[in-house]
Amino acid sequence: MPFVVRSGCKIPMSRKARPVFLNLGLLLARMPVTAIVSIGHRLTGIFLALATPLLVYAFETSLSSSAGFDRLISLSQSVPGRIVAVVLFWSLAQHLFSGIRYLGIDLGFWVSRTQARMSAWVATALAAAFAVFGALAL
Amino acid sequence: MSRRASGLRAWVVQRLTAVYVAAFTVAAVLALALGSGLDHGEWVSLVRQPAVSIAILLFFLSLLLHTWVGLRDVLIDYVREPTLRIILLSLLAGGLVACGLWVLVIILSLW
Repeated sequence: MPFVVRSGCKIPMSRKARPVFLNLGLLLARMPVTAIVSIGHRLTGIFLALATPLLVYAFETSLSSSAGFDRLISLSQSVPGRIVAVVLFWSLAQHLFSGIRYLGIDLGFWVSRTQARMSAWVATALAAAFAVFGALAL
Repeated sequence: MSRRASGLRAWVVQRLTAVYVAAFTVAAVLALALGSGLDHGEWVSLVRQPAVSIAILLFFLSLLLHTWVGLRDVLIDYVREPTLRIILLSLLAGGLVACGLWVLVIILSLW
């Protein structure tokens, strides 16, 4: 029987025409906060890893010459520069606070379901608060 | 099961580097926030101090090791095709080593 492969499963051709609905909003709303924080830790980790070469480049530019240093300072004060800085800082804060939460879980804290959910909310709220503070302080 | 195959070493490396990267990042953000009036000369002489240079090198070493364990896990979880997985893992390793050497060159050029 002819078939197509979808999500690693062999599905008969006759069922191919069935539409697959992916309602991301609904999927997120049904996920516990701990799952969202877990995925967020991965996504922010990937994002921060991609930003690492930029960090090294900025480090090099800042040290290379007085002109490079000044260029970097004025870039960090421009509107696009501030937006990039705030997004990076928010990602960093989210990764840091959810990471501290995972270290706590390794040590046996916040393991029960209630505390796991509470600590996930606290990590997310702290990261958001730091991002807002950082945006205002820039 | 051998100690290498257990994944315990990667687990420990990820946690230890996390602690150093977190501590350094908090210190660096605070230092940069407080010393925002710094000019280029002061910045270079700060980074040139042996303790600061070593702390920065250790930071990037920890960061790249942490990134290796984290992205290696992501690739192993989501890329099922063995050849593509090997290619991506090799590219990742090459990129991270290149970043590390780049930082080393930057620091050494100040000395």
